Amino acid sequence: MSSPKLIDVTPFEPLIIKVHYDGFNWDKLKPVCQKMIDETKIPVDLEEDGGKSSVYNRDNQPHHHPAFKEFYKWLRPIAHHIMHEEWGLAPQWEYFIGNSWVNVHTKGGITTEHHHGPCAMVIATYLQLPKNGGFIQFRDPTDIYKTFHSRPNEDDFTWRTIPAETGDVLLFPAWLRHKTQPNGVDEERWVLTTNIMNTFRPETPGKTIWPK
Amino acid sequence: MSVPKLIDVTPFEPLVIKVHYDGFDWNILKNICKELIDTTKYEAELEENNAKSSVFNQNMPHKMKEFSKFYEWLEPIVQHVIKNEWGYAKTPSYKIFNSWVNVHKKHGITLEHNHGATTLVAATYLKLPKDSGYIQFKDPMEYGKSANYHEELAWDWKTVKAETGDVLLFPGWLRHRTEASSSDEERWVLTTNFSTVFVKK
Repeated sequence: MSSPKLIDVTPFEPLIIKVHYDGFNWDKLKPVCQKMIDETKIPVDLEEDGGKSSVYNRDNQPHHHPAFKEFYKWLRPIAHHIMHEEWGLAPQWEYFIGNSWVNVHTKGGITTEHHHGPCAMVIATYLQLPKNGGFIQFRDPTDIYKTFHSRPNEDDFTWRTIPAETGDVLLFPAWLRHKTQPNGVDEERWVLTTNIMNTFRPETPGKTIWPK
Repeated sequence: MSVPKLIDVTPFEPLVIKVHYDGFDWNILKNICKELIDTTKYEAELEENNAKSSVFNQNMPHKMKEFSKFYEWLEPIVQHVIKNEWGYAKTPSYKIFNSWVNVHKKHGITLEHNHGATTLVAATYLKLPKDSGYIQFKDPMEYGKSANYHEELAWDWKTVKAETGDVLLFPGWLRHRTEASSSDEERWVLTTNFSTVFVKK
């Protein structure tokens, strides 16, 4: 008997979407990103073992920096499409960049488990991802229901890894818990993170605000 | 500007899987299913508005010879989904715990429910007339997604279309219900619960 055709008809929208950006010039961006890190005076609790972040550098954020202008211009319609067309979010809300920052991980560096609270969307962009530099991992949001059943490896079951390469952009909901694998190499891993937030503006349906 | 290629990289396993079975002879099965309903003494609270179930009948389809070919066909598919698609342990056995049929006349519905600790539910459309309604699943990420407002009021309920002979396989914890039937013809569904059994060595 031939195997019957199994069709995935899960009716819920995709949670994590990948898209690729080809326009980064890392030689030009690296000093910009390094400056953002160096200017950041407060260490970030989530970054451990050789991880640093510019998340508390409010005065120098990537989405306000001219070096990232073309990237955000490219990103805008993509984020808009996913929020409205893929995820079905209401058009009576304005969506805007709340903040952005860069993380750098040297060998062994990790970002520990966290989520992004009330944001509408998180956009993680690999500016520089060396081979064996470690990937992002997501916690299965239905994990608690699956604990009724016997599983071969609890940690592999709960945490799922998304392979990526330099230039890849991952877009996912802020409530989805995630962390990174440790960087396994001497080269640095650089990631740009952008939070999309929203506010209720019934007079401007579907408008998306981005930096000028 | 056109949107560049977007790839769904969601790393979690499929929750609802559809497969099709061609072997039912409804002319033979109808009388058997009707008898299962007629000999059921207790009403099922989940069935409303012209709906009946044999869920409390000790006579169950999976023990009847008329359904034996179907269950022979279904068994390896279910084992494959549980062990390979969903990644559950291969050591326990996954066996049929119970089975029953539901019939919905016009306006009939099954209310929202789940199947507790059942490992896998197989919902099989024995007879699905046009406009007789589909199954709907509640988004298990409802609370997280509720942080943002959605365009559709009932965004958290998703309908899965089907046809006669389709079999839907999903985990017991996933909440579901049916749409109301708008048809004068009866909708007949066979439901089977597969549970985890730890066998003594």
